[in-house]
Amino acid sequence: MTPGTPLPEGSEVRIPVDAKLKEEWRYDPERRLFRSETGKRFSPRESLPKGSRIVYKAPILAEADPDGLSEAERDLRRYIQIILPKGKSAKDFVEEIRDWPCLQEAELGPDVSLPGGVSP
Amino acid sequence: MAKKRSKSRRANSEKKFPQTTRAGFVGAGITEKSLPDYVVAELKYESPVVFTTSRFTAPAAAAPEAAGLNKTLERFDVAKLRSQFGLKSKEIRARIDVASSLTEAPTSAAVMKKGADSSFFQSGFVQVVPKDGRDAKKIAAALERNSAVYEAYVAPRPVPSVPTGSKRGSRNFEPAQGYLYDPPDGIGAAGVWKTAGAKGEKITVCDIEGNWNRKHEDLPRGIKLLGGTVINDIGWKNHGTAVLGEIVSVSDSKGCVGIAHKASAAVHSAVVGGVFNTAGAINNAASKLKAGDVILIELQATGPNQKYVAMQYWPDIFSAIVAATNKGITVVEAAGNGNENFDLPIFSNTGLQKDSGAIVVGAGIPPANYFDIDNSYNLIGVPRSRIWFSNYGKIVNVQAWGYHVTTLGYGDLQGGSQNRWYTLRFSGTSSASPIVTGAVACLQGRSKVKNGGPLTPARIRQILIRTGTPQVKGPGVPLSQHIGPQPNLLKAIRLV
Repeated sequence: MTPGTPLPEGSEVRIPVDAKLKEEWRYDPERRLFRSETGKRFSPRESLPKGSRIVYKAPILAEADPDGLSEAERDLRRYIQIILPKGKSAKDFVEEIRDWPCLQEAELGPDVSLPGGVSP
Repeated sequence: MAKKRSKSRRANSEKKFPQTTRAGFVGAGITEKSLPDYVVAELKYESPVVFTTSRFTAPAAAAPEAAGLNKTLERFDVAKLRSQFGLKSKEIRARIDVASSLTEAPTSAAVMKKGADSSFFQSGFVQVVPKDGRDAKKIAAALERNSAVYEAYVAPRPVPSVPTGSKRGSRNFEPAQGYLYDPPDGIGAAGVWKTAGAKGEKITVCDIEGNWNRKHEDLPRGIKLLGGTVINDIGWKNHGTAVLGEIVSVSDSKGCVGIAHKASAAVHSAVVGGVFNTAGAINNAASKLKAGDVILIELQATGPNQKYVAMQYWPDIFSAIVAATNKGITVVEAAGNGNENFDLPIFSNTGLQKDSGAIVVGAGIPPANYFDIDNSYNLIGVPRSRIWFSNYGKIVNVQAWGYHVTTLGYGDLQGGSQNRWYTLRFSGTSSASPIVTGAVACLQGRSKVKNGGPLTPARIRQILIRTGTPQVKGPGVPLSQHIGPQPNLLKAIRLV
């Protein structure tokens, strides 16, 4: 029995850093910086290699008016991913990212596989 | 489980092996004359009777029982007796001690207390092979009148697939889809299809994983990729195809038939922007579905004990599931194959000990897939007990077949071009969760017809749990390793 089907070797799928914003912070993808409700700013540029991307996990919710969202949706809209460029490992950056003032938590993204396959 | 045994096996096998199911599908209708019929007799737990290749024997106290059986055999021309499970004579003789210590009609729990293992349960099954297969029915009836016999029946024939008139020569594998059949073996899907809406009409099911062969000959046309990018890998492609096949295989004379074959299917890759973003995939899929629809999460990931766990362990995914269920979308989630106990302290305050609203599905042992008869089922354990690899715990709500499910893809059952691949070995919580997903679609389709709208995800889950066929314990897998009951649509449909 194969307990799981992992990603194929040489897969293009990368492991990101998954992070959750502190409640008062938002990410501005156009200016590529974080802003707090109280006017603070944080630029991640210096701590990330060129070609890194930061995206909301649920972009539809990120753009929505939070007043119209459920509690679960308001929670979900705080999650972001920091995607390192090819050749760079998220492992090498996760510690530094954890120290960003705008983040409540940051972890490596899960090691995802399929829960089965064909058994003998 | 301290329940008395029920004699369901014979009734089931007689229902299944005639080649037409309730839904009217014609299965493999061949009779292989070179395979003689034989009888399977199951000795009562408490009967210390054993057998050689030619006769029954017993210690003095039970000698009359053995004599009665031999007298029955003498009336027929019997070629041989043999163990149904290929046990050696030493293993068969070992049943005497346990059987002698039992009182009349013991429960399976009482038998286990006396130290019985799987060999004991298997040792009571004897094949009686007549020289003339036409005697089999009479022998079964005669044996069953004997006080030492719990039940006796003519062994069901393995049902090979055969061409059924398809122009392209594809074959019909429906007889091997035992999970469609009536409980306790299957979920009773075929039994509810005659009820309006219960084939999943007007319900959309969205499978979240990584790749699918949406051009497979037995899938409906127009399955949409709602988002994400597919993972270019044949293993992932087969997996997704197998999952869809269990749920929405087209009902026709070839291949398989899906549990909810009138439902619409959609897919969403969990890979978004080059990385896994399962929460985003759930959220995006939910935004394109409506109340009553179903999302299936066909993924697992490595948890803190370095074992696979369910995806709701991660808080963003937990929130995405809660948000989807709040919209009336039922989320079905594979528990994962880590042999992990979700009730451990390490999972306190994580999604593995909180209710996300999802229906979390464990993997149970099937009785057989009615096709691939190689004794392996008896080796892995007792039907409807937890398969060793399935995760378990309080949040695991229901179980379904986690081993040797017949469906599309992989090509071990039928090869040729990928669009015609079929398997009879799809396994894992991967194979279990689409069965539950199909069941949900059947119930929601029925609710739309009967009630004018869908039930809430919480109500659907409650119905499945309340009406399901209970989990069974097996050697090394006690009921405390909770995976819940197997859905029983025949009962569940009445509560819709």
